[in-house]
Amino acid sequence: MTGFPSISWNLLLPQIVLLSTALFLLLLAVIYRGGGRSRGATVAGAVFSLLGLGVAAFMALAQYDTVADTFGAMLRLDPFSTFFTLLIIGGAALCVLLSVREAGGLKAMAGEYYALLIFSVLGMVVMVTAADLLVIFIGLETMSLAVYILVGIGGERENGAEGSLKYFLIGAFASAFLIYGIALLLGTTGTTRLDGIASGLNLAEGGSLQLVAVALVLIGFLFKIAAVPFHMWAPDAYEGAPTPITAFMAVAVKASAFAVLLRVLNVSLLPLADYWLPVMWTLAVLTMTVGNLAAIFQGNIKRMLAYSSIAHAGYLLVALASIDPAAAGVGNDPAMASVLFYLTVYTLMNVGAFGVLIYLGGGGRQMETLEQIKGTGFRYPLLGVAMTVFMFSLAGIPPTGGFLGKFYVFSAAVNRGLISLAIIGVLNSAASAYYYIRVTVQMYMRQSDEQLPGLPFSLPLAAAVLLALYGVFQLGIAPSDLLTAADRAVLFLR
Amino acid sequence: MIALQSLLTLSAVLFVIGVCGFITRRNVLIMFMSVELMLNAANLAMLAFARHNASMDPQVVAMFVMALAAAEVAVGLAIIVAVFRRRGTVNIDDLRNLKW
Repeated sequence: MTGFPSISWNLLLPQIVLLSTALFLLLLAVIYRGGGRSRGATVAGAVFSLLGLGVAAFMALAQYDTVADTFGAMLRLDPFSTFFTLLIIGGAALCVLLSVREAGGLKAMAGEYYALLIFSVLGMVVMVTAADLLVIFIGLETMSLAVYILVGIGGERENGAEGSLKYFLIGAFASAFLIYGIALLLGTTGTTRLDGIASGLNLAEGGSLQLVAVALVLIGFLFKIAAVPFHMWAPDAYEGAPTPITAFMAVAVKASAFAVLLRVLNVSLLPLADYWLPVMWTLAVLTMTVGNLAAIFQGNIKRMLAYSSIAHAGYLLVALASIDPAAAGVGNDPAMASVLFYLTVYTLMNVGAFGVLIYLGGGGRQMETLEQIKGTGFRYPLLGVAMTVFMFSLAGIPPTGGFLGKFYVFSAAVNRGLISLAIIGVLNSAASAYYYIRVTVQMYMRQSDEQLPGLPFSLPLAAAVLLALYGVFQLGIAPSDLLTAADRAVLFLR
Repeated sequence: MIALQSLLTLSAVLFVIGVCGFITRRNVLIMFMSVELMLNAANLAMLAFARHNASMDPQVVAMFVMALAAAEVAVGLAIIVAVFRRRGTVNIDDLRNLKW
């Protein structure tokens, strides 16, 4: 018998655990629906999601040093994929903690909520482990289809369905670009394997068709990371989604899309570095500037954080524009390591900021606009301090992790001689401080028009916010462990 | 035998029609159909390459794309129905609650 790939199932344990968890959660939803015990469904859903994510993270941690190909080399396990697997699972676990109250409001849908969340995590983990464009596409679709539904879940919210529809349409449009690019690459290089594409690229012969193919593939990914000019879906989807899902999209979806982009650029498209480096430069400037300018004019904090997440994608693109093609595969590239560091910090500070927003909304009063959070700083002192820290970190003010993240990204740009790009980045970062600090100003220096209600204590929310707070300070003061891990991870990117 | 060139041209034309349809039409269902047209343009390109290169790989990929497109339709139509129930319209210009 020939051609049947040898499969090392034990290398796939994180994925298998995630899949079983998601299926089990679906089953649980059915069981609880029969009894009509919605509270039980919420708690059980959250507990089992956390359990599944924890076991999957443990499995991933156990294979941290493994470098191996499996499934006929369709999947590649290396410290890079494991780093992102852990980051995505960690971000998702924090989002599950943020979800407990929100999912409780969904009543009958609570079971499906967690199942879809875990399915999309499974898609992301497949994506970051993939060594083949087709597998990346399958992982991307698994992730996206689940997130489309999550954005619109629970018919009661005013704009959920609209946000979901817009996200879906643009997402499907982007997938079509990606798959057309894959088709052309497959035709002209004869393979969809990431390393095979690198050797199959031959610009002398049929070059223009290959360039078109590469451009289409990159457009597909750039939609997912919401780089300008492919960003128009992001604010609508972020505002329409339940807040924990907004956090999930901002951190986990973005991290996995950047992981894939890093891998594709460095493994498959390195021979074309002269073409895509200037493109990344331009996109970085556009994305930072448009994201920050638009964020200044937002009154809704969720929408503001959506534009802020676009701006942060811009900072990450600065790092991509600073990749040194000569360093690939021989030594570590500070630009690539800075992406990993930044995404980790970004996950923590974003989850924290959204967590505080959700907590503030617990008193039966909507807390989504700058108007509504007036005076909350003194009324809820701990939340006020936490929000201030997260906003300072997002703005990049020391001693928070956000400062170091930006510092590494911009110094990578300076090291590569991209002084003007670094200057534009720093200017953008300074401009962004205006709208981040405005949140703090509203919380502390304005009086609320009405009596602010007391907030019910929520253990999972408090735990998520405290963990994020700890992480933001930890990475701001002692970043060396994470930096070592990031340096080591990118070493295997080839 | 039809040349690779002409099949690829046809697929590119279909793809561009899909892109134009997506951008210019305002009915969500038609926009969605345009996306399907783009996906099938990709399938056509793959099958053209499969024949030209005498390789099975693109055919397999095309099967995957069809399966994923079906999954996308299931989710997409459900979302469109949900929007229609809530708003009574599937015109994208009328769906502008979310706008800065």
